[in-house]
Amino acid sequence: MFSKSQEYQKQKIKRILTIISFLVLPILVYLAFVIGPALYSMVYSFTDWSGVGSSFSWVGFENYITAFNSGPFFNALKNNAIWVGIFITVPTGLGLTLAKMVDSLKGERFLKTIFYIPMTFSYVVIGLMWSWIYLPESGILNMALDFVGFGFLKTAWLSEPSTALIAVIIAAVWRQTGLSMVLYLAGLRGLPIEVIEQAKIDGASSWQRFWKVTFPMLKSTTTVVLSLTMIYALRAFAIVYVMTSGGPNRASDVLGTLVYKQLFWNLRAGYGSALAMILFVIILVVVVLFQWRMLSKEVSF
Amino acid sequence: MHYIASNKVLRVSLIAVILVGAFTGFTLAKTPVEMYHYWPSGNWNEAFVEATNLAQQKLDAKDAGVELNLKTVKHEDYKTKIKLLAQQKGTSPDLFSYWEGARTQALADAGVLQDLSNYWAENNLDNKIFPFLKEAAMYSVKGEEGIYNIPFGTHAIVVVYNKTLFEEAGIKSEPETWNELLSASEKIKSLSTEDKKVYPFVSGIKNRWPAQYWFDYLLFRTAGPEFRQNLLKGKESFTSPEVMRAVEMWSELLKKDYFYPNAASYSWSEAMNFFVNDKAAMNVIASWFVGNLKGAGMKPGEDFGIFEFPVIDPSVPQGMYGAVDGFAMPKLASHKEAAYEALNVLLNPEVQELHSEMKGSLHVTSQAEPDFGPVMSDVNELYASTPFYYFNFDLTAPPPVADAGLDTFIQIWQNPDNYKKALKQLQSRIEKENLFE
Repeated sequence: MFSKSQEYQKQKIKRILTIISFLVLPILVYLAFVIGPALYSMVYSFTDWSGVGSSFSWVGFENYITAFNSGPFFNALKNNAIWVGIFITVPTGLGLTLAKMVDSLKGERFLKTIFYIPMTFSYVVIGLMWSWIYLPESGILNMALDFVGFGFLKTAWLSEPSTALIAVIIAAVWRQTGLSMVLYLAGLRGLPIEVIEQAKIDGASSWQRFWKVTFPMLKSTTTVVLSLTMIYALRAFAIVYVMTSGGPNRASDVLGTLVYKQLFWNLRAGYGSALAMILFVIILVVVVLFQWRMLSKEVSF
Repeated sequence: MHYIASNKVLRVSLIAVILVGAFTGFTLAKTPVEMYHYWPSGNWNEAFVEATNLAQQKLDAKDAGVELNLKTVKHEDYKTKIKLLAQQKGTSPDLFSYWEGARTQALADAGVLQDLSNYWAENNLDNKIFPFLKEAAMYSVKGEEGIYNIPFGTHAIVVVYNKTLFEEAGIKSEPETWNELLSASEKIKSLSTEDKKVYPFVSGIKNRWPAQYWFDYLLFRTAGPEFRQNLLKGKESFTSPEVMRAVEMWSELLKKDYFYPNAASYSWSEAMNFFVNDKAAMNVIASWFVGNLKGAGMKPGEDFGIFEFPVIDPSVPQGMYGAVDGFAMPKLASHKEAAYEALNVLLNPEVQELHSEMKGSLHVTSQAEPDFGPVMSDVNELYASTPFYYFNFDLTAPPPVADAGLDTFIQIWQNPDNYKKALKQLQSRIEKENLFE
């Protein structure tokens, strides 16, 4: 005869074992394919390994010192900062505006699909499409500028160092905006309508209702949108690689392309791993700090 | 009893038949040679597939018991993938095409490649492969000379010119000296009208590497091959007077607007459209342009021709450079003996001829006499009699130096006034990051 508490303990252990049995496989996969390679990368960052063969020497922090003395590294870091700056404002702001518009319009499904379409394309496809748009002589952008009488603004968007970075970011923003819109739209649909109605009864204008009531209540959605855009902006790679490979003369280089070039073009796997570790730490610190700050003041309704 | 005995006999006979069959089967099976290459599409692929088919016929004719299995990977992916495949037992190919020069050196240094010096000596390749290619194919690994990549096909860098524009500009003969080239350029530029601008040169440097051709030839022609080789070994500086002089000449051309604009917006092949459309007259490019121009409807010899990069300083030895594709063998290759057989037939003169004719590339064996068309035969004439042949800048310099150098060439191209600053930055980066080590 088991007592009630013994029976409860038995049930509890059984439940824990069930949970563990479900978690074992994903944890093993995560360890093997995420944590393992990350640890490998960390180890290699302290070596001079070329990425080929099995011979290498330990070089301590030399790769990290080289990185912090390197012009290309700081150039890429600066470009990543520009990416983050633009990404947390433009696609987020546009996504929210579009979501609000779509939410209050008829034919919402159709509009949602239209704005979401870019999101269904990979960054490689987007990169190729925009490369054609930016062509100096036959690109749509320069032809359109000519057509509307702004021909003096025409330039070789991707091959001019002064415009290459911004041109790539615009292409990426075009895609990212769809995601922000869908997330905000879901957020808007989840808001308690009575709070907004109450504000209306209290005489708040539509702008006041949005800025003082709706937007604060969308805080958790904003946290998700900003986290996702920040992470993408920091690890941007495919679209940059396809459109400019980081050129011309590193004008659009980001840490992602710099790491790739060191690993696979320059056969400096040790140095490339050190750069990847720095990138990892930056993403971790930025995202964790941001989420901790945002979620610590979570709004509940 | 009788039944049991006959059953036994039957069983034994059956086993014997199976064993004999299996044994004969094994002995008849050909040894596969897994060959990876990076020409997955277009006429380069067709040329290699046809050449391999001919090589297979030759192997079969001498009953070598070798089967060539081709596997292709797209050019850019190949650079990454083949390194991973070659260093693992089980995935390692028996042979793989690879770029001669610093890239082969990196794999040889890492201990991934088989030293093919013995194969070279045993097969008397000194008497088959052009001597200037042997010099280029020697690698020093841990202080010892070795051969790690057997040349298979090459491309030489020449100046291609648009015959229609030359004729319109009244240029009677191909420029042989620097001054003649400058004079021809001025004549070409004078063809420009309000409706149509004509440029002396075109280049598509979107992928950076075509920019190196100007740097290389100007340096070869002014400072000579020895200086150039020492520069790319880290024994000379990019801020030396020799480099400054060569780049100054280049920057003068750029400042005079001799090049078709927005070069960094186009790949080399996209830029050739301006040549085809009579908007630019010349390009310094590898001989693979022939296939590209033929594809665009231009007739070799009638619409376009070639000349050797002009002499700048007659006291400096004149020669050529370009890219050499070869075949390397991983140390972990499973069928080395069969792979040696495969190499022998790939170097067969008939296979070399077929490959060169179809691909529009140059052969590596002196016995081969490809039946080239008008322009390729001119390239071949220069190539076969060149006193020296080196690799491009990005195939000679160690990869990190090549990467930094190519960035600098783009910087110079876009801001020719600041070439001194660009070269100083390059040298400073090389020293700060120890890029030659």
